[in-house]
Amino acid sequence: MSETQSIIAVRKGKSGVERTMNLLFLLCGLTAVVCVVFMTLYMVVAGGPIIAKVGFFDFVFGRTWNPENSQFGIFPMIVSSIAATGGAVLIALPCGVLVAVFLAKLAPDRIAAALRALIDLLAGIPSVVYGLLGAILLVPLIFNLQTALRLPTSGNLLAAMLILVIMILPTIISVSETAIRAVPKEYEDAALALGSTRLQSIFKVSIPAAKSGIVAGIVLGTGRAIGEAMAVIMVAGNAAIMPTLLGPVRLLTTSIPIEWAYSSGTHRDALYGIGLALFVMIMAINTIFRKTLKKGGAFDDG
Amino acid sequence: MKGNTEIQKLRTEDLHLYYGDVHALKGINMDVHSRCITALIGPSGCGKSTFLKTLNRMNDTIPSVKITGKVILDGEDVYGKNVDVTVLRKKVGMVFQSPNPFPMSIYDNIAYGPRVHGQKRRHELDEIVERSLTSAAIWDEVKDRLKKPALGLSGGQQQRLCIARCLATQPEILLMDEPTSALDPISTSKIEELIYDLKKEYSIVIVTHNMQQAARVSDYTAFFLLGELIEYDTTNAIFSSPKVQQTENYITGRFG
Amino acid sequence: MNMKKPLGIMLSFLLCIAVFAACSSPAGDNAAGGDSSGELSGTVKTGGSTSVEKVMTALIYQFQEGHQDVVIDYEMNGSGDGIKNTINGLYEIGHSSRELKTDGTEDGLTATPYAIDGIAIVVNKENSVANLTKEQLSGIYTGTISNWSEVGGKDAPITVITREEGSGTRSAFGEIIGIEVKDKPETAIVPAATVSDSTGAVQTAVQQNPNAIGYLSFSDVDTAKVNTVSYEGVKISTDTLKNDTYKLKREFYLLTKTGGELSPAGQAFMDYVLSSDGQNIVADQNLLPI
Repeated sequence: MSETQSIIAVRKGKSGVERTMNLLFLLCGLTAVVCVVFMTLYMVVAGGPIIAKVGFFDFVFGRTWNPENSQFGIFPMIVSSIAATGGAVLIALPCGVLVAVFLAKLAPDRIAAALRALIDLLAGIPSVVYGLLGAILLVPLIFNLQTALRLPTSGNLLAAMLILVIMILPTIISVSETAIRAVPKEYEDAALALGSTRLQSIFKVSIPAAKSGIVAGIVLGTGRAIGEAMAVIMVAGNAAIMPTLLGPVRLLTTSIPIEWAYSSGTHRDALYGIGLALFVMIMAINTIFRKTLKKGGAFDDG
Repeated sequence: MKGNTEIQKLRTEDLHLYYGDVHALKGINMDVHSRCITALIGPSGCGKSTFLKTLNRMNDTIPSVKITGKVILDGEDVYGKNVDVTVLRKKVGMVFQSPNPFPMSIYDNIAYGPRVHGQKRRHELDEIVERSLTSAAIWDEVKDRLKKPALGLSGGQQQRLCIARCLATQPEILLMDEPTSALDPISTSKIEELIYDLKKEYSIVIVTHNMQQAARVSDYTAFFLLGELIEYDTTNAIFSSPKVQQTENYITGRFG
Repeated sequence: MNMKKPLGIMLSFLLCIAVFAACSSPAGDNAAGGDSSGELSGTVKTGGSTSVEKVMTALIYQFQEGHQDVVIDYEMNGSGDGIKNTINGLYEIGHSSRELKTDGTEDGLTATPYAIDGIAIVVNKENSVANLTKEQLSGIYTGTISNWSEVGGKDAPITVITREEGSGTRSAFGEIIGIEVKDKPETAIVPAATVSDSTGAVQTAVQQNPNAIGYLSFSDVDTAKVNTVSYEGVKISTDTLKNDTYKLKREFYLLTKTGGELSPAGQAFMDYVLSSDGQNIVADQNLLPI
């Protein structure tokens, strides 16, 4: 019989390599935290003063944006941003989920693979290209609609919404498809065994079961839509007025690139203020979504 | 030995099933007697679950499956032309091995079947839900929490819920694929009692891995091996005097 | 384990400080210079108006041909940007297509005119309106006139296109036709006007929109894309600009810090622009030399 091996460690504590790696990981994690904290602080410090100066209510609820005359009301832009993003999500959600269902459940493998590749391609196209196509193809089409309704022809909210829809669709589709695929087959089997048709089992069982995943897709899409500036500038008309569907609009995001280069002093501070407003809006949307998700999630976990 | 044609609920004629090239069911001829419990036994992979699923055409969901032969239910071939599968599955209900209630409330689980078949009136759905849960011997336990999630119930309760869900569509035949194999002994015996009760109204086919369960509960037993129906007789006959050597070997535990 | 918490906090603090420190504003530095042998070399940073793009790029090209070691940077972010960044030293020379403001906010700069530019009023090729008076133009831009039929065109709503607030062209235009007068809100540009952020964008917008009207530098007008409208009965052309019958015009300026010193390359460029060679180029671009 050979000697048995002792199980007592030869060296005390972790090796040097492990300690170094631990430190490295710690630094990386800290850097991420620092970045977020820093950005938040910077936005508050840069954007805060203008809000204090102009007054919170006048800034957030003021209806006129005219920096040359020292008017800094961003309310129309807030409403326009909400309208454009909300409208885009409202349209993209059913379209996206239906395409996801098609991909996950109904399409033959080869068609599904081709479609998925196409969607990934769409996701990778830079937003400026969408803006270009929107300006050249979409906006002139909408001119016809505006003319028929005796409205001035111009860039408009509808064009902005449609561009945003195309930009967020790939995200919603991919995430929803993954969520639907992740629904256990047992649910569908049970539904079929009870006499549902395929479509019934998809819409009454699979989609509700995939709810939390689908909502995650919506959150991602909303985040992208609300932050989009370049593509929107090219199709939205950029007038800082209260939004109408076929009238020109300016979102919170678009003011910044348009006015940045020549702004100075109070005007520039106001642009920081807009940045802060955007920041706050995104935080609010994320929080609301999380809370809604928790409610739905709890239901699922019983 | 086949029963009298009048009490035959369901009959298979020369049923073959192929998974691609694999010949999984080889010429099965079997009867299911009305208001009786028929147990299907045999070692793993012998085809009993596959056979069960041919009875309500659940194998349709698998693309590589090919089926020849007939399954005659009340005189109509289940695999004939113009058969509405959703009506078939209303008539022939299925309970699965692992309890699989939907991630919805208890009420919505039971109401799912009737709703899908067009029942919309609240009042009538309420009645159906109560009746089904009572038939499944679980009404008293859940009557105060019908709106709570079904996934909050214990394993045994969930399985009884699935049985209730099945009963809500008022089927005539119940197919049960190893319904108690995932449950503890107490839940198992509760469900065996339930199944025994249910045979007063329904014809039941139950796949079981557990021979003792088959012996306890069923009226007829079919022994499957490697895709073939080796022997089919009353349960008493199979367990006390099997006619085929392989049947005896299986029952006495020489392989399994 | 209990080493990690204070270590973590300290590291975060240090990182924060490092990041804040790195955010000091960049020192403006001028890289252009000459060496003792008199050969010009280096980079001259300039920037500002988009309206001067055509003539300025032509001038820069010719100048660089004659002085191979000099690079003139020209950033185009609008006259407002040019003025601001010449004051703070980012640009050695700024470009503006409007006069400097006299309200004190743009002090410290010298504006040297080098070209006279006409501001053309443009409409879509399908639009039959050929002439607008000053009242009509200001009415259109302030919103009191909103339909083409009110000025002799077809029955369709007018889509007003304007430049961004910092645009020199916008200020020059506004001054001449009497809109956007400070402290007179009734002269404000109609709020629903589409804002385009460069002279090229205005032309494209008018080209694509049958009911649009816009204004841009004459040197940029492409009559294949848009029609020009006569102002007060006078059609815009180099002749009418020369004989002063077309009144919508303004000068292009080179901006420099008053009392400051230009680099040798920068000074040479300014001299070139004002020389007869430079002025010939100006004339080539449909502008009037000084």
